[in-house]
Amino acid sequence: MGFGVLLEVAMVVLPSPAAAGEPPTGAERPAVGQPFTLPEPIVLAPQVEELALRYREVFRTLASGDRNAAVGRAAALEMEALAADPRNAIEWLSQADAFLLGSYLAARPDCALPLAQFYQRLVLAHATQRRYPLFQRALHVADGLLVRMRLASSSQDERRLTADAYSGFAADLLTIPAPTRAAEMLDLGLELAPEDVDGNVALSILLLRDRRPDDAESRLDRVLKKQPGHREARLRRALMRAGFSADGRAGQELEKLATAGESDWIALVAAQERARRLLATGDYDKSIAFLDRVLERFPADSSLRVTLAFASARSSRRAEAYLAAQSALATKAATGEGARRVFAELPIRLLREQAARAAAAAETRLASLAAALDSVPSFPAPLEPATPGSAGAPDGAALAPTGLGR
Amino acid sequence: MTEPRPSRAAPRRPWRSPRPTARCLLAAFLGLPLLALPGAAQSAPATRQPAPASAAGLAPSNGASGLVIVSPPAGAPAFGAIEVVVDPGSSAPRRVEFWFNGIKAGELTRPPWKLTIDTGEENIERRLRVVATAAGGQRREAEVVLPPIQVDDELDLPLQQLYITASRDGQPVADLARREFRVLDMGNRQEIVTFEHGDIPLTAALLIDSSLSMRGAPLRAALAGAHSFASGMAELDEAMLLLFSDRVMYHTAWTGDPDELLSGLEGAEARGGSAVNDHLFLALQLLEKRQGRRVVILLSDGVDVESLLAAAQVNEIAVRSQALIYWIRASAEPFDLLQRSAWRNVVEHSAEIRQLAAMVDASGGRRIDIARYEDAEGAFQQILTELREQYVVGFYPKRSRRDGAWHPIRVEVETKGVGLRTREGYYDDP
Repeated sequence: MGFGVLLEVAMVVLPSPAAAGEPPTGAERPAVGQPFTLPEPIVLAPQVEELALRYREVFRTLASGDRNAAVGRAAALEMEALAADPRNAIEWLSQADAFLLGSYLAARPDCALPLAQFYQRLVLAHATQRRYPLFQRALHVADGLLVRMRLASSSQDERRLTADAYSGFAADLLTIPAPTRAAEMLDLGLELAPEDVDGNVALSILLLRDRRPDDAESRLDRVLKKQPGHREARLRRALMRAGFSADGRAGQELEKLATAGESDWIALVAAQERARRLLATGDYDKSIAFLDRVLERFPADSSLRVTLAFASARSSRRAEAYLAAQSALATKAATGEGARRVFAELPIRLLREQAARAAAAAETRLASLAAALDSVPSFPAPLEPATPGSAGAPDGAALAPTGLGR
Repeated sequence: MTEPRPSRAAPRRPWRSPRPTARCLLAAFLGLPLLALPGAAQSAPATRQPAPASAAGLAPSNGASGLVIVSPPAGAPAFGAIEVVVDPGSSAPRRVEFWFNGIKAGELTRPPWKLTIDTGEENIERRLRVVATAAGGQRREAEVVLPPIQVDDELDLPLQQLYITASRDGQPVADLARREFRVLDMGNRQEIVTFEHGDIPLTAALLIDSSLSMRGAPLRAALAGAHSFASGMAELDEAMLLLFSDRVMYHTAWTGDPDELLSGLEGAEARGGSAVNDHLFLALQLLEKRQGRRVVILLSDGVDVESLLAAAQVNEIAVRSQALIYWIRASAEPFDLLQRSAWRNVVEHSAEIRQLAAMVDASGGRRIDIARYEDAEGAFQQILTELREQYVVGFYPKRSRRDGAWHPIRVEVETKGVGLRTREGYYDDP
């Protein structure tokens, strides 16, 4: 096997020294499509070889289907390496798995998905335990594997699958939470599947959080152009456009959503926000009339009853205000998440379906990973300058023993 | 949710309208508490039964048949739980029935002929009738009429009551006399018409944030604090507990029983977001119909993400309610801590929490910051101690025009070194 291929992949999955503290953003990400030639031979540290051997066992476990054990072993291995040599561990770990991943991908490109999913889980494992350097490194590797998938996606199905993988990674990143990185992943995925309505809504939520309202709104416009009746997109765009105004088209849109007949969180948020804006105008009669209407649909919502009590109190209807307050107490506390919480939460729910599809596909590709493991020998070969044309060497090319083992 | 429980046997305080007016003052001057005698021998709730046949005819006069209603005296207004004392005269009856406004309230078959009856708190005419039946079946009746308080419209001026906390070097000052206080309304000195100090009954809404951030030990500590507050309440005090997040999670009826206040809360759990403004308004609204000194004690970090109402809107109600608002702030963070949500940006969140703090100060209450939830109990106790030592000063505004104008109030005291805290003013509403 030519090492040009190996190093090409290594550049994808290795963190650049400049980005030691932060994973690369899209603009910084190396262009992986270009062949790379080594100016001079690289001598691997013996620790790298040892780590490569241990990673190989981790990947064997993964290929056997036991993902949790694989993630656990990898996390333990990386923690151990970091504890033994905090200064060099990240570099050694990166060299070790980069060489392996490069050879596996060269042997079986379709094993990129299970590997990407594995590194996503490793990201979560390190994030949960606040192992920041290891979290960052795993993030780079997962990111690089997805880039590799993106570049290799030639068919519509492959692009769709890669987009799902990006969405799944974004969902995982949101659980950390790392919303800026999640938005970046989602954006990359949506380049491959721009028709993904839920993905676009999710991205608009993240863009708004990132104080990019224009970008967020254009995402919603894109959704509504494709699906004019998409209620969540309608709600979010109306709220973005309404500001604190009670009138205008945005206000009417909120009223329509609140009174159209649905009784879900979207209609409730629309009702609450419409009521809030009406109250702010000081038109309490109009507020009361509206609240009476929507309370027929949401009789158990205490916030609407409190708002009704306020509007009544401010319009000197003291008996009605007291009754509305009493009825707010009488509403039985709902057990589910409140509508406003659902609206405001990070959009993991919108990415679950895509994440599940990616996970299922990864499961079916574990066999490819097993095949790649079988086709690549245990020891990496010594690195020498690549010769022109060595990139893209035939699959299954053997690596010579390095002789660097202890 | 707990069902409302029967009211305590302990007598209620005199009737007061939700908004203190001249009626309150008259009720207080008429010595109404004397009509509600604690430790009554027997008591019974009024139950609806057909009135005795004779009740349909002319009312018997008190004492004409030798049967006398000794207390309450005829012609005196009465409210709440009152003790009815009967003198049967020379012949001992076999049974005495007590009727209140046509409803049988109870029956005694042996002396002492005393019964405590809950007559409610509306300002209405009350008729008390007793029917004594002798061993031979002879019946004698007596009746007294207790009229409502008669108040001319001209007298229905809004009494402004000020709850004043006096302290020197952080310690309460308990020995100030009425003559030492000066009340200035828009700079004009006012005549103090009511003055009380010390154990004045209070009605407190204990408002505890039980959003997700309170899960586990914080909520338990907050509830322990509420329990300690309730345990320290005096006989005529009452409270309700309201746990909230982005919705009402749990609430009790008004009660003076600390155990009742926390019964059923063993499984209480914290979840959801926090809507402080909405529930602060709700507490103020529920207090609207309660009597006496009204107090809200809010335990929360004050970060409001979910409310539909803005703090400024709640303030409009708070200022008019005359309720004291205390805020046990479960956070040591500065107000400028960066906080934003889907509903408010950083500036708006900062403004909201500052408005809440200003509302608390303007009410005459105060904020107590606690760094640890374990300190909640101590904070509740501080508030209770402070409430026990408050002065209540009432005055009729001399220049009331009922034009809705804001009237800043200033209270001064002659004694040097004494700091005073009370509400900042009132709206002269129509």
